[in-house]
Amino acid sequence: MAEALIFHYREQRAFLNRCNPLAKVASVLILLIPLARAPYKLALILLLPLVVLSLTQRLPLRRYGKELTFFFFMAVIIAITEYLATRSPLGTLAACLRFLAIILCGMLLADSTAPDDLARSLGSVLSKIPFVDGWAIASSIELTISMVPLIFDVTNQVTTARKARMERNRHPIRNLTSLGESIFTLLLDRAEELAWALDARSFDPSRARRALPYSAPDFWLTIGTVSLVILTLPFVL
Amino acid sequence: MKREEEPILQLEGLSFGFETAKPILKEISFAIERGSLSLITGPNGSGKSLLLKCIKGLLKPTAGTILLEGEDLTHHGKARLRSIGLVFQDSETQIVGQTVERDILFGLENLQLPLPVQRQRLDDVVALLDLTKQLKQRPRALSGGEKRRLSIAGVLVMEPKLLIMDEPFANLDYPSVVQVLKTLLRLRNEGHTIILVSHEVEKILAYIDKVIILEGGTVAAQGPPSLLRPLFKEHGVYVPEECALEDLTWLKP
Repeated sequence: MAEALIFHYREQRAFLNRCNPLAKVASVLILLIPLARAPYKLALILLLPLVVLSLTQRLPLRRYGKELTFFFFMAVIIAITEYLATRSPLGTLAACLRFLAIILCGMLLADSTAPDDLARSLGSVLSKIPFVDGWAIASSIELTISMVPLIFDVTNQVTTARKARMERNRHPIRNLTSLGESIFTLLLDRAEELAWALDARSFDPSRARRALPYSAPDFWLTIGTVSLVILTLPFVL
Repeated sequence: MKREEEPILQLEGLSFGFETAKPILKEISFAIERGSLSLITGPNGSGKSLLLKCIKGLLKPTAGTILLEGEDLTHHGKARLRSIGLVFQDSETQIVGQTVERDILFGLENLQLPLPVQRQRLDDVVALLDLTKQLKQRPRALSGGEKRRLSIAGVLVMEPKLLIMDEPFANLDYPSVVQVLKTLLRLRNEGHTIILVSHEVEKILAYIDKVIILEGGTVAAQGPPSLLRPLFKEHGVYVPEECALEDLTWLKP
């Protein structure tokens, strides 16, 4: 069965892979400040560096296939609802571009950051907060991120199995309920197996891990993002 | 008795059930010798996989004792988790790292070993299981046989006293089965104690020291393969009748 690759980490020596996960998360959060209210021209400007990063990262967009059609479908729904609400073609375009930029941020982050590395970086910061089990929170985030590709895999598996058995088109709600039930059951089974596998290899979510060092790419990424946001803020305010 | 002479694992009257009134595993007792290659077999639903999870410490037995090197670890699930390595039936379940290297290191990081020790163990296990070329690859891109070798490596690198493998030949093609067989024999020759759980007896029986047949959640028979072979069929385990015992393997010279 073809594996869903979207939101999977790929080990490579690209610029973003060399950045510390914390620098990447911070950059995404900073970028979201102007992006949240960006008109279409600004959204295009903010999207441009993300597209360049996608090229340097060599995101295998063609291989994402079905998963991208899901986001395309989401974009269409956003476009329709935005247009119905505002009757503004440019506003609709801006909403779609913002959505595209956010999805691209997620893809770049997931493609260049191993969940384990993210947990190391986040945990090392969160653990400094008093009365908070920062490492456990980071491990929970790590496991949640690890579940995302699993959801795509399971959905793919269930829909393929149903197609192979010539599932009839019944009432859409009944179809969705039945599909959701199958996906959820299989996901629970997979989650239980994953929990056993983690236990079997002595996984302890509260264990302190070795933090990752910062390097020159982190500096350039942060400076680049902050400069971009400072330059674009006047257009938003 | 010297420590080297006593069985590495002893189960005495082990029972397990999700409801106490309805045990699935009933009064299971057997011993596994150090450095041996043992096989637990039986028909589907006989409780083989549940037994493994009880031994490993993933499920809590409702009765009985589990002795590891003579020490009673029945109520020390965490100690069993560290000392006993379990290779799951579905390799993908067990693989949690984003690359082969990261997956092998996962268990070592959990044991909080110093970095040089981690690197040394990684190098050793990668050489032993012939995974050097795949070290930077994504586990999901590996072949079935390579994934099985990776799941063995991930467990073996933690240096368990006992290695248990659940259906190691399941869903593998002929070359992959041969790869896994070679790996198993190499590990046994290096002194590892291995318990296999499989109903594909004809692939490995020639090399097995002890067979335990489970049926209906109890031990129906146990002993060396030469003695137990006539009993396989009546306990629902298929073995080609016309073959000599030494031919019951897929690893032909």
